[in-house]
Amino acid sequence: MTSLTLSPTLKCGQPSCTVESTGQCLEGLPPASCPNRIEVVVSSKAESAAGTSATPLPKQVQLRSGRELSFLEAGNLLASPFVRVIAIVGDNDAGKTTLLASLFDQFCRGPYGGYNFAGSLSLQAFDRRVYLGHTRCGAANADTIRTSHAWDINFLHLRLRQASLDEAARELLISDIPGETCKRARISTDNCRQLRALLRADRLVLAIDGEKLADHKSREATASEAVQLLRRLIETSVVRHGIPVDVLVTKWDRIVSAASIEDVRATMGRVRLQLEYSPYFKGHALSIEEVAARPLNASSIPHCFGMGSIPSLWCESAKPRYRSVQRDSNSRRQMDRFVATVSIEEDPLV
Amino acid sequence: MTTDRRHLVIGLAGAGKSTFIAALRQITEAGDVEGALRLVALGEDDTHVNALHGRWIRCEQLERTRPEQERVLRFRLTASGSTNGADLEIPDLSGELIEQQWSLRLCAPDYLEAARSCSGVLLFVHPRTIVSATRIADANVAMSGLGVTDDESPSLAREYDPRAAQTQVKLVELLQFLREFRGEDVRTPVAIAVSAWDLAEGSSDGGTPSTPLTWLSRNMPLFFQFLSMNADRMPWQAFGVSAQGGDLGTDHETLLKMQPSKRVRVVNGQGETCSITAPIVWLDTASGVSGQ
Repeated sequence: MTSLTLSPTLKCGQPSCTVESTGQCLEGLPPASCPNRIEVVVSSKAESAAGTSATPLPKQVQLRSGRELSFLEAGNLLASPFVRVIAIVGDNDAGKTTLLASLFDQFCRGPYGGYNFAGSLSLQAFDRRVYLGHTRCGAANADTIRTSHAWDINFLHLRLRQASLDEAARELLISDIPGETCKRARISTDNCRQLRALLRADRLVLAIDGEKLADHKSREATASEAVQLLRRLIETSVVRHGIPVDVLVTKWDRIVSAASIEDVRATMGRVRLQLEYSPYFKGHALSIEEVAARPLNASSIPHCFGMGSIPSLWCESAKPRYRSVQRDSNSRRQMDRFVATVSIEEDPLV
Repeated sequence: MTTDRRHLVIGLAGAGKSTFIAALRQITEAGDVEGALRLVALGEDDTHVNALHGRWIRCEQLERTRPEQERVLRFRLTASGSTNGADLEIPDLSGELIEQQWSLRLCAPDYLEAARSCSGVLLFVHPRTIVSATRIADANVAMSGLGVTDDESPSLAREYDPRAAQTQVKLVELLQFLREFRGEDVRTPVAIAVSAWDLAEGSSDGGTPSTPLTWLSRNMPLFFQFLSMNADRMPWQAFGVSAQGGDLGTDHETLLKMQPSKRVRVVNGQGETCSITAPIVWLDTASGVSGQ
């Protein structure tokens, strides 16, 4: 009888890291969560029954998956001064995944919104998201994969850079939170607290299903539920106080087709007033955008309608972050006394 | 005096790597192309390269390199008129094994080692084998514009298969892996060779003939952006390589009658004619290797 045994060994993609021999990560991260890790899997046949000597098969090095990054896997990037964490929330079918897929698809066709694609650690995750919108899937109509419910927040990584190359690339970590998870978070504080990883978010994007807004029967309920979700996230302190909030009215082509533009704008105008006069929303900047990431075939609205400002909005504040410094001129530590004497630029985001 | 250089030659399956190696052997051995590097001496074991060259010079279709055929090829090359030679090492790697980095997320340790120790990378792209991403919506609009109704397309999509991903996405990942293997801060020059350039060249860009640079920006925009945005650590240059000289099916007799070296045509990124060794000379220069 032949069995296959696999023995994993940790290696690191960074040549100067000694994790293989010492177990110590160069970045100080737990080895299992370092995104630079390379797991070498040695496969060997063991002739257990006959007791003959093992015949080793060629070794294969396991590479990173290219899928969504877990919070731990994103840890290395989170330490970068140029990272921006974008949290996208919204109910089922609000168009969150389609928004992300279309954004990536747009970069597959050229620079977009003043930015260029400079890399991604979750390329296969993006490719999966655009797959059902491409002819290579074999279907006659475009679709989007469903993001399954989970409390663990995963991120898609996108590295964008301006063509001038004057500034460093921006690292976007974008959370694609399942609609079902958002729905549960909306109705319960306990559920909402499960999303505490969103505390790291620099920007909150709330997607509202334009198709439901187009229908007068579901319009007000849809808007109300979206505001509830936003309020729950803020009141539960799952998102930081003062982060910008972008409300995206998705599937704008359906609203145009239903001749509901004025009605939807009136509803969203009331949403704006409600938020701007609500104490819980004080300190948050609000924008309301009308977008159509992937309009229906017969629509005259172009792909990624209204999305041109997204790359710059998501990247613009990605300036170096500084930790808050305790100024203590009487400290026993020489560094603390030195810091107390100098002027330090404060990060407006902190 | 010799200075060794080791350039990694990679590409997905059918990208034209082996044809390039065979044509490179021809040009450097015959020494009948002005400005091209020349072969100083035959290698110690030329079995593999001779097999490739033999098929090439008889205008026969080259077989793809299978994993068990992988080996490191060595050429001692020198500039015309120079007595100095430098060994060029080219690991001839199978496209299937390179492809599996994307689809299976596995990499052969030999490749990892070659990637870490190379001085530059020659990456092949074949215009006829690229998978692009046509939107269903765009295809439907185009079909209805032609008055075609598609009643036969299945309503259900096939399950996602990473092997069917866009070529440009795979190539970005390939270069990202390469940079991760070598370390983010290690400078890695990359020469992009667009194979079968005689086929790609014909596609005009608004009336202007394509150059390798404009072809890449138009046909592989994501890959082009990636290269441009990472040029500080990954300097790059594009070349168009027609290493076969024509279609082996329709032009076979014509090609057989030609002087072998005349079958090969190479242009740089701007479309200017250069020799087949120009990508190697560029890699030598960009990587700081004094190869001549």
